[in-house]
Amino acid sequence: MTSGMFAFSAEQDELRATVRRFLAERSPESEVRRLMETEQGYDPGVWSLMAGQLGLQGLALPEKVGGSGFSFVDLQIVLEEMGRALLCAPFLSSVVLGAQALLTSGDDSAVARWLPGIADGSTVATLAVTEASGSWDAGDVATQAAPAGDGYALTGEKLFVLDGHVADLLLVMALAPEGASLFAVEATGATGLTREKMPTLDATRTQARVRFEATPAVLVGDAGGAAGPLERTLDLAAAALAAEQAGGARRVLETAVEYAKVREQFGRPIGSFQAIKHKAADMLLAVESATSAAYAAGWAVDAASADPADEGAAAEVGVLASLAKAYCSEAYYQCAAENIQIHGGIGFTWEHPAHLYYKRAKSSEIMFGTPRHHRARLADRLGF
Amino acid sequence: MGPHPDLLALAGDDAERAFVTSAIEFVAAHAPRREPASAAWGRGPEGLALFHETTDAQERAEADAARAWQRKRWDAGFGWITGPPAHGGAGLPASMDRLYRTVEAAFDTPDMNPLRIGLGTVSPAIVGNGTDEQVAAHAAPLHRGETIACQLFSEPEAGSDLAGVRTRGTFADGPDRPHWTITGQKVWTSNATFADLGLALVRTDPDAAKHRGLTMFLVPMDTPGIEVRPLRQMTGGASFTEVFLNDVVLDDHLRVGERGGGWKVATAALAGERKAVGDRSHDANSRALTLLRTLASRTGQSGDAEIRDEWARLYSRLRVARFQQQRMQQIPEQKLSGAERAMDKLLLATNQKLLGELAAELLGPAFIADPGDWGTFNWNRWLMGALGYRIAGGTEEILKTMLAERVLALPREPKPREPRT
Repeated sequence: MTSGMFAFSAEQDELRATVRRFLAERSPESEVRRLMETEQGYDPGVWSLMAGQLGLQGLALPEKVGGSGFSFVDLQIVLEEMGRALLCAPFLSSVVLGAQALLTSGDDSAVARWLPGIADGSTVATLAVTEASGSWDAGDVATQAAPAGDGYALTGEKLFVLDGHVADLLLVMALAPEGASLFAVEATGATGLTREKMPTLDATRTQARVRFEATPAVLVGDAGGAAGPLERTLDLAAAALAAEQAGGARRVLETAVEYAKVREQFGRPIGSFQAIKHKAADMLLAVESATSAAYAAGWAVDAASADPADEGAAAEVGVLASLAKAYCSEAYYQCAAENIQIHGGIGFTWEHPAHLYYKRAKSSEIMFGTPRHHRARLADRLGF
Repeated sequence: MGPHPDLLALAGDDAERAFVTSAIEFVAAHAPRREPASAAWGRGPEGLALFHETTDAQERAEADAARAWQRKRWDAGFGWITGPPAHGGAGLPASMDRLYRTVEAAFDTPDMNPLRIGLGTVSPAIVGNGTDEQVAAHAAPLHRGETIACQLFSEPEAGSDLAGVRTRGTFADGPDRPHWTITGQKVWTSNATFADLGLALVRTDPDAAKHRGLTMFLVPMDTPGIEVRPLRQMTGGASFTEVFLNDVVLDDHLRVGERGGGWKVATAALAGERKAVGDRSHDANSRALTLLRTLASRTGQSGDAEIRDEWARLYSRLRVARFQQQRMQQIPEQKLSGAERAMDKLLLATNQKLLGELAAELLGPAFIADPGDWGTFNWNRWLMGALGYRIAGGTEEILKTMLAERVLALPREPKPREPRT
């Protein structure tokens, strides 16, 4: 669907326009504000429309499991639009984290069992890795997986689990006798499972505390073999979140500029003052370069998928995913904070949407590892 | 696909494909693919002076090489891609020119910097505003590789506020030879020591409003009354000149555009100038980054978390600057305001500065006193050069204002009542 790197096809432009129209209608600010006050945190009706009308959940999932087989860049286009609209939905958790955890596990039967549900939106999945320390490193996991009958029983506590209180399928990183392994827990009817929503800075994306007490679980992939696939999953999640961040950053730049054109002080629009212009120009630089960084990572993902034997292409994904996550995090945070500054007092009110973007920006900056963490990873990966 | 699939992939349709194919064929026949400058420690030139600091003889040799390559371009039909066919140009859209430049940048062709002003600034100004005779006599020879031009715009009192130029031009309507007498001082002129032609912005009506009292002239640089002096910059070398014009007499047929229309010509010329941020600057930054990595390891600092963080940040910034340039090249020209190129320059210049600062951090005392080791003390030239790049070709502040007004459409600053100059 793509020709040269960074060249969007007419189909991709159309995809973007379709998603933007849908979100303008189904996820306006009023809906975002309504949903962030609900326990569930998203609208299952809109979620179904996303799947049924637009096929967004399955867009970039393989055709053999009910997806449409579109590229990762296509998925990023969708995420960029969702970031603009601050969509409240378990999309990142289910379609990126959950689906990719299954796909990277290499476990065909798990993929066949759960991915079709993720693709058609009937299953909401998530990935539970982090515990009290917040680490995404498989080596830091303390939740135990003990062999029990044909399967395993999980005991431990996960925190910061994206949409963990509403997910139908929890993919859980736990320590089996063989080492860090991935397990599946279907929430409905699971014994020894307690979940509670955590208070979050960003109310448009929920996180949960999930406790397991001898909860029956199914091994996904090889016992003791989860560390490598997890790294790959996190790279894809980082590249996905980077696109969402670029979308949010562009939206706050637009609102800041719109406001600077109409807000008058000292008898003229504040946007005519150089201090504001230079802030806006710095935001523009951040937005445009962040967009370039996010899609560069996306193209790298697609290039690596096109030739799985190409080790250089696979390594490039690791480098650019961390690069994009670190870069887009800082760009979005800068823009979201400057948007409030340009708005002045009104930007500091609850009624104005600026704080919603600010909170999403700060929260996304830290999610999946801070910029500093990703730069350290980058230095490692480049052999520095 | 044949050889150079990466370059062929730049083409979006059949016409572009045919063009790129022939461009590759031409360039590849004369030059190999360009290897990045060696970043091996301790070998070859240090290459840490961002501003080209050469002797007169070196400068002239480079100019000769550039001219020779331009003649080859011309013979192959790539000398004036957007030029009017009546004057030997290929009459193709700007997108083709951009494609050609991208193709050529991938090969080890001569550095065309000596011709940059002539081809990128002076020629478009003549074509857009001059007469047919002027195009034939002054623009076409630039593209044929026969002449080199320089730009006589900035003055000591007219930097960012270019319309404030004070060089005076007075008209005398002789019986058979209407002419102008020009007097003033220009500054920051590149190439003036060997240029054949200058493009000079001159105040011809001191009583008119600031922007309306200007007229543009072509100045043959061998005209009596022109004195060129090298201008030594803070790095110690001289990459620019001052040009003094003392009662320089110019025929009226050297006037470009209307009397009083000089500002319009200047604006057209400057738009051309901002188009070309070279790949070479990106390459120089990449090499510097690699050198810094080696330097960190040689100075035993590669394990330092802060150094690693800063290096990884710079690695990211350099790659993003390149991605940004590539992404902008994919956007059709008609969708751009023309100001977007300023983003390339802002990103590059900031990266240059940050690279220099990391070098200073790594080197410590060897940044301020020369221990005589390869690749150490001369990093101070890099950092100072970076300061120059933040100013040259539009200060960061001017470029940001331009981005805000042209790309983001923020309102212009209300104009103060203008003083007569």
